[in-house]
Amino acid sequence: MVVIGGEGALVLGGLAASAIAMTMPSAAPLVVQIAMAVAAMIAGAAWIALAGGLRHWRGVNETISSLLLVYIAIAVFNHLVEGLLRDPASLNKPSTPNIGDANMLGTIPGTDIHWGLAYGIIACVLAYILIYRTTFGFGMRVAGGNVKAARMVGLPVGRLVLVACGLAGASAGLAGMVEVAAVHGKANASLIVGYGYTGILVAFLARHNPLAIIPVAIQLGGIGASGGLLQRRLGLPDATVLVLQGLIFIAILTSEVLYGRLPWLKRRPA
Amino acid sequence: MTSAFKLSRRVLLQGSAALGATTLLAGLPFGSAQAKDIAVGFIYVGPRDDFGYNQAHAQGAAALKKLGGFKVLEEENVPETVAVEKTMESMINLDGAALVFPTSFGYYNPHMVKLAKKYDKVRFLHCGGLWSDKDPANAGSYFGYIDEAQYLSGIVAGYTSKTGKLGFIAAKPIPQVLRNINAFTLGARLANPNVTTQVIFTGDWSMPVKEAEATNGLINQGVDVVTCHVDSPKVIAETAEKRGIMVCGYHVDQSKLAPKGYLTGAEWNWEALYPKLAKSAQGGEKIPNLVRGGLKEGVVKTSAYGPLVEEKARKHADDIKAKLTAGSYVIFKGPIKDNKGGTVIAAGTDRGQTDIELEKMNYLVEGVLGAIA
Amino acid sequence: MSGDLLGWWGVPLAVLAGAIRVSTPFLFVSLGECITEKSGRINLGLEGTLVMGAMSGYAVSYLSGSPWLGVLAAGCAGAVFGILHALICSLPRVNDIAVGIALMLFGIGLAFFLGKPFIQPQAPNLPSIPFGWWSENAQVRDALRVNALFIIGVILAPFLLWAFRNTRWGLILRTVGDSADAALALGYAINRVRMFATASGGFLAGVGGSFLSLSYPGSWSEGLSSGQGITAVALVIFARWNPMLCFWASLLFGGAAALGPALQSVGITQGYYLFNAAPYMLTLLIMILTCSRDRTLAGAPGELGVTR
Repeated sequence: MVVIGGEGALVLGGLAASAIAMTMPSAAPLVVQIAMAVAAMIAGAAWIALAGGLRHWRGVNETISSLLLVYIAIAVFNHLVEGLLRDPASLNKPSTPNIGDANMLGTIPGTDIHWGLAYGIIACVLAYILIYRTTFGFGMRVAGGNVKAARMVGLPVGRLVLVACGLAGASAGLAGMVEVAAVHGKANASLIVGYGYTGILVAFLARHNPLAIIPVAIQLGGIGASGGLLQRRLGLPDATVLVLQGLIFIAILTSEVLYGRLPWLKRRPA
Repeated sequence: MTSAFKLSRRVLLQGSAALGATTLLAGLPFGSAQAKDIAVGFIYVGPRDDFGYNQAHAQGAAALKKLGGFKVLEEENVPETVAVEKTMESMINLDGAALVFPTSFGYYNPHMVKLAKKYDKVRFLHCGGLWSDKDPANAGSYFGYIDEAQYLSGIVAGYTSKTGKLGFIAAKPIPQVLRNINAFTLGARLANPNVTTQVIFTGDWSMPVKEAEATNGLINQGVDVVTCHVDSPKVIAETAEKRGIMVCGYHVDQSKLAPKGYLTGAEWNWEALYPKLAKSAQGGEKIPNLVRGGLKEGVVKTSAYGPLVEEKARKHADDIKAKLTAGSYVIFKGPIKDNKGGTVIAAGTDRGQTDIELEKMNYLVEGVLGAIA
Repeated sequence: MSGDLLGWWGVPLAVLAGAIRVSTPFLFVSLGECITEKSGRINLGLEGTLVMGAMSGYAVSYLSGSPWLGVLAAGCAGAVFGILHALICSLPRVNDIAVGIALMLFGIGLAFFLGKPFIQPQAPNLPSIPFGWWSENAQVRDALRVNALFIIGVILAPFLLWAFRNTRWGLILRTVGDSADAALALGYAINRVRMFATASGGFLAGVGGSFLSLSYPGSWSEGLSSGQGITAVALVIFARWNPMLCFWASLLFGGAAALGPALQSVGITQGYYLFNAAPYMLTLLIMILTCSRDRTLAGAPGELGVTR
């Protein structure tokens, strides 16, 4: 299954996180943070599970439905941020009310890195364990490889699909929460910048191995960060970074051919 | 199965910026700035030649470059996320920027405020007029009362329109935008009290297809002068010209795009302000925390009149312009009613440009067709 | 209200006019993708191809003064991207969806990179044909001012449908797409067929992009495409790989996209975000209503990654 709706789950996750923070102004920061994470994961999970459910019960292709749901999610997001959930004080950039400085995710002591990175790494490790070390993960991989075979051996394909979609959405929702709680402090249009799409590529580059996602995502961020210098030092347009990223992706994806042919690149069973 | 949205790019940006910069740039030539030149960084949210918001700032940067004595650094298409913090840090640490202009509204909080606290020797000047005394002292914010120029555009449009229907294509119903719509309409009704302005909100700052569609929709409803408040008025000006109606520009001069139908336009005058702000930094003067101004202070200006603007309209607009430049004219002067019939500014109340109430504007004045969602 | 204005009646007319104006890029990209997917491959990179086509079309039109040369250049740029996709995907174990997304990024990046000098100048646009000459009403005349590319698209859709069903080429294409084994047994060169299909798909997507820059809205800027390319890829699945249905789907989508601004221009301004999302909601709703869990999608090429 290919779902390209992470962006939708991300923005709604961010929205849910800041909405829940609005309702608990006096709670302890840790409680608020946990509530935000949970709300974001539920929102994200529900959104992508919707695509999975449509696939399962109505046979709607999940690739399209999740893509359409991205646009719908962004519309709902904008509608609420500029309407019901708007902080009246956010005059010229409509936003939800600030979650409060105390509730922000801080930085890891001694570094400039905020705790979002830890969230991400934990999620990667959990996903790795789930996919490669549990029966459930094994079932998912079988269903992902061949639906007919999975049905034949009696796997509950529908439930697997729904849960998998839910988990995928939950992690995208969590990314939205991290963006709100570690960076912006509120939900506004700055959340909609296309992380969801980059995420898909990261997944492919990491060859669907959650642990490999960590270095891939870090390297990708590094290329993005160096873009400014290309503009200022070499006078190259900002699009240079995009071209560079595209070329690197193409090169890496093409190198897939070499797996199994060169002795030091072993092909991992998918 | 793509179960892998968990690490978004920017979340990791922080940790990896250093890594990426060092690995990628090891081989690039690092030229160092002349010791006497102070480095000034400009950050734009979109492309710098968009015929709009970003171009206006880039023209300001270009004016500074021409002046000499400054090393101008520019970066475009920087989103309002952690990315802008990285850009600012990189300008400061690697290029020694002593003054940074993050020019988009959304760069301010939390991004710029955070960095201003961290780098208290660097000056940060943000476009948007948001500074309050709780914010760091090495930060500042500036903005222009561009509604004065919109008011003049309105006068010209009111005289020139034959159908009495004007169109306004706006991104979002936020106070700055509403103030422009209202000023434009008040100006137009000064010229012709029966004029109406139909508003269309596109929902975002840059949506070329939707903007073209909105322009066509307005023209089909009989509108014969359009103006806008979006990031890049290019498509709107071109569509209006193609359909043979008139257009008032915004941000920068768009007369080149609509040589026949361009009436006038409300423009920023960053070319005048940026050299001034940069020189004050060079001279080590105290940072101006809050700079605001209109025609009087030379922060905004109007485009030259197009061929269709009659003498009568020019005269009236020039007259008001002279008064605004002298600071003796009030646009939002009571009584002003909103378009639902309620009074928003009572008779006898003058809301001058600096009035803080105007920055919370949440209504459309009488004569505007449309509603804030 | 003066006599030649339609007021409220303007809304359906605007939707029709919008359908024609807005749908053309969707139409070309979805027809192109239809050919590609019929051969059993999916090219998600058409968003990049579209943007690249928009840029190269505008650039060539500006440099040569001929918009049609621009359209041709856009098509060729698209075809090159198609060939690139096909070449990479013909290697064993390379995933066509991932390559598509990478090419999307690359195409957008390259278009922005090369397109910088062409943001400011104005290039000659494609002509429109005034089918509304008979009407006194300016609005009707405007709605019926139909762009030449749209007409080409209208002719192309039934032609492709006919060609898929009734020509040898169509048969080979479908065989390759439905079962690579069968095609191999029949002695067809699978990779060559797919290369051809992806290249023509890219060509059409490039032409679709040139419509954006050369006709409507008619200028090159970096925000020109708001996901038209990737949405069109989704429309192909929605249209069940049938070129005629691609045509209707594009029209429906374009019309729904025109609804928001049209309603606002007659004074309905509530909830414009939701109106703006109307095309996506409508598409999803129709998909939900017309799909069934027990039936796989009729007409789906058997070799296609996303439908397995």
